[in-house]
This record gives sequence, structure tokens and C-alpha cells, in this order.
Amino acid sequence: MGNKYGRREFMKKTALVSAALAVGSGLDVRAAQKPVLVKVSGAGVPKDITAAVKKVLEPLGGMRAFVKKGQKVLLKPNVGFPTPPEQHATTSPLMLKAVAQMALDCEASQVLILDNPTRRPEACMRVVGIKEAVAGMSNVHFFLPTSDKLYQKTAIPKGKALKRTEILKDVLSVDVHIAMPIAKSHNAAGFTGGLKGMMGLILDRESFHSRFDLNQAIVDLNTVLKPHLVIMDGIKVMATDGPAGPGELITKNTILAGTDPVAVDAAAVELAPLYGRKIKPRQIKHLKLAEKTGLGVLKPPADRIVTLEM
Amino acid sequence: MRTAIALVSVLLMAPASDYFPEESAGKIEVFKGQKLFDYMNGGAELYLAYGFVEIAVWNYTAAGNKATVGIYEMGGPEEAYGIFSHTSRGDPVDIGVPAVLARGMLSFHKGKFYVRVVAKSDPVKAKDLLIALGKQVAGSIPGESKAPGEVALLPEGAVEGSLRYLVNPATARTIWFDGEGELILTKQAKAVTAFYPGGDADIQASRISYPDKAAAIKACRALAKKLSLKTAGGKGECSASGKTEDDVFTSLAAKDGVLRWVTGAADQKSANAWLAKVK
Repeated sequence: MGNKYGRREFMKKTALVSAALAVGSGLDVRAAQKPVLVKVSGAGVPKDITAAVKKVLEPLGGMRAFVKKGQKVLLKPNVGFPTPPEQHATTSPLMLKAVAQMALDCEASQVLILDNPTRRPEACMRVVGIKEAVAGMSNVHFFLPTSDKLYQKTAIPKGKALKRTEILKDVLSVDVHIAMPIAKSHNAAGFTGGLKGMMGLILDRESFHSRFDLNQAIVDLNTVLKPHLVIMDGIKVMATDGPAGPGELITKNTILAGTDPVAVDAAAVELAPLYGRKIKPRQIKHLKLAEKTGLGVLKPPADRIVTLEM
Repeated sequence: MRTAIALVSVLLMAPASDYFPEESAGKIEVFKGQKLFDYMNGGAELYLAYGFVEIAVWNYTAAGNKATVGIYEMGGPEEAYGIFSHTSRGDPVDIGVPAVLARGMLSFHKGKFYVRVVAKSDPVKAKDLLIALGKQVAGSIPGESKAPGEVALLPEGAVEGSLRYLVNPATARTIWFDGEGELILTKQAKAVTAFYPGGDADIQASRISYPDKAAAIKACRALAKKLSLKTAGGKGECSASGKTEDDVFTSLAAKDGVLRWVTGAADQKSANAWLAKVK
């Protein structure tokens, strides 16, 4: 992708900075060695989501490790369904607001909140609560783009099933991509989080379900859409009847964050029993395949994981 | 037999309900076949796997409460039960047929139809509306609301809402995550599976019926191989048992075109005993 996406070197450097910052904050020194996964849990999380997001990002170097002055930032939530926030089929509006504000505090020039919903965008826009949450925030724009004019044909060079697809143009031009999925059961993929959520940045989602092997296509897409940071809403996990719900909600009061999208998804799978029983990350085909493809690891070393209470 | 859209049309032309004289029905939308993806991109596969034909969906408002009614025409009564079995956790409600109310959604199956009535306003306040609409729709659907005969062949005492009726691999993706569905749900095979309270984990009992004996034997051998278990039995027979990589005991056997399979047991004796309970 001929864009600003190839900023991995920058990310590697920020990881070192994050370790230094974490040491300075008094966190365990071993855990501060380039963490790839951070988990913050506790009753305090839903009470103060802004504080919880700051806390989960701190070991990663805070938002400043990811967003610099003048940069255009993409927040990719799950806004797939016209359901109110209390059904937890869509990402917490308060979490999005908190992250958008943090990006602005880092002097981002623009924050785009984008998702191609599975249902009518007007209906989603009306009920998911994000429009209201970010109302009045300058330079924060919430769109649910469905017009094909807004998408660009893009090759997937490493794709095994998916060789090309139409990706949202805005995504191709942002400086920083922050995925903000919500942890849910999914009746076709088993689980949906950050990796599957990338389907919200393309035009033709249907072919993933009907033409290709869904799991392979998800992994193929993630070889080109690589978020710099994943922040997962695990406050309440929709453990059954996902992705649309209404499903059984299990309160976990957790936010996960990390730079390894596979590790974050895998940790989210283990947050709560799905379909009434414990599911292992390796049992979710697209996660197992993602690890095999080199997109990340299902279980990072213990000293790369930071667990915090709130 | 009526179609989903015909059913809705009849309902809307009917005199106002006794329950909600001020009700107003919204515009009806219909999605057929693969167009279901336009309505529910995420999750449409499961419906299509059960032979989805069309859905008629419309919104209702009554006394400030809102609900969406979706009538799904499925491949047949068994398929309608099958999709219902995936959403059957909740409080039982009698609306003339057995229905389940959970989290602001009333669902039931009757004839070849699966019906969902979903609250679009406060689910507690909308409960009466959901039940009233459910009764109205159920009363308009011809046919019965009964489970396929295979369901009664599993042991009693399943964990509430855990029973599933499966007709092809795509219906089993949230049951067998490691691809067992692809091995055992071969063409024309039908499965019932449920979880039972065990020790540390639930025990899963499954019964898969095939159109012929050979298909059952083949599936048994394929499953045993995947589970790294040695098969026993001569020509026309297959059984296997042992501890799997998940540290649980399993037992499976194919006989007369039926594969019976129990997994999740704490010891082999328990696995074998549960297998004997699967008819």
C-alpha cells in the first residue's frame, strides 16, 4: 500500500519508549520490556472509561507513543448493527470518545471514526450512541461509508483466497490506525474482534461469507490492514447469539490493548465462556491461521503481557 | 403453504389486534436467498445453511413501545427447528406454541417458519408487546411446532439451551470449533448434540444419523483419526475411545447408519456409560 502505513520502524521505536515510560511509572521492570498486550480489569473500568483507557495504554507508552502532532488518525470501531449501546453489539461510545480525545490531546489533525456497517447506516448512526458521544468535538468525524466511490481497489499480495478488494480510501491515507473492536461471539467465525473487524473497512463484505473461505479471507485482509494499536472493548462480552444479538452478556469490566492484533483477539476469546463453554483461542480458525501466517501470536511470552487492576 | 411475505400481508390486512388497538405497522421489507446478507451481513450463513428462503420484516409501535418482527421462511419444519435451536436459551413463554423470551427477544418456530420479535425500545416495557405480537404471528402460521424425532434420542437432562439440531458443517461452527463438523456432517447427515452437567466441564453427547451404514463408518473412522484414537471393529463396524489432547475422555461408535459420540468425560467409564444412553 503506497501510503503512510509502512511505519513499522516508527512503531518499533515507540515500543522502546513505552518500556522506558513504564519503568518510570513504577511498573514491574520485566513486564515493561516492550509489552504487546495490556489488560485492565475491575469494577473501576466502567465507572471511568477515560481513566481505564489511559491506564491500559500507559505500559504501551500512552497515546503519545502512537499519535504525533498533525497526524490523521483512524478509529475503527464495530458499528455493524443498529443496536443501542446497552446490547454491547457495538463498541462503547464512551471508549471511542475517550480515545478520540486522547488523539486530539496529542495534536492529531483529524480523527476519523469509520465503519462499513452490516445494516443500514442511517439506522446504525441513529442508535449506537457514537454520534452523540463525539458531538461537539472539533476535528472528530464519524462516518459509516457505504458508497462505492469511497473505496479503492487494492491488491492483497499475500492473499491466498482474497487477491484484491475495495478498501476505504480514507483508511489508505491515515497516519495512525487504531482498531477498536468489541469482543463478541460470532455464529460463522466463532468469535469476532479486531481481525474480523477489518471487514468493516472494505466494500464487499458479502464475498467473505459466500465466495471465499471466511477464515482465510479474514487473514488475507489482515495482511494489508494492520492497525498500529488495538483497543478492545471487553466490558461486557456478548457470549451467545453474536454478532448481531441480542445475546447473553457476561460482565468482564475489561479493556485490552496491544500492538499484536492476534494476541489481543486471543486474550479476548479467553475473557468469557462463549456459547456456554470455554473456548481456546486456537479453536478460532481465523486466529490460528493468523498466527500461522505471521500476523501475531496467540500467546505472547508472559513478560510481554501487563495485567492491571482498577 | 404460505410464504413469509404472504403471511405478513395477511397479518397486516387483518383487523387491529385486541391487544394493541393503537398499533401501527411499518413498511414491510423482504429479503430472499443470498440477499439475506443485505439484511444481516454478519451471521447470514447460519440461516442459509438451514435452507433460508426469505424473510419478511417489519416494525411495530404500540403505546410507545417498539418492536421488529422477522418471519424467516426456512427449508422446512426441521430446518426451522434447527435455527431456533441456536437461540433457545431464555425464559419459556407459552404463546400457543413454545417460545423463548430472552434479552428483549421472543423467538419460536412453527411449520417451516422461524420467528423473531425483537424489542427496539426498553425490553422490559416492551415485553407485553413482544408476547402479543408473537401470539398474533404464531396464530397465523399453519403447521406444528415440534422438534425432529432425533432430538428425543439424546439423553434427558441437557443443560438448558444447549441442544442443537445440525444439518451441515456450517450449522456446527459454534459447536465443534476444530473442524469435526466437516468430518461428520457429511451429505444428508443430521445431528443432535447437547451438553450435560459433568465434573470440571460439561459432557457433550451427539447422535449423527446417515443415509447409509457406510457413511456412518467412514465418519467414525475420520473422527477417530482426527482425535488420534485407534479404531476397533471389523468390516462394517467402527468404535474408538480414549483420552484426547484436551485431557478429557471420549467414546464413539457407528452402528446401523448412526454415529454416537460422547466427549468431555472425566474418565473412560463415564464416557462409555454416557454413550450407552444415546439411543
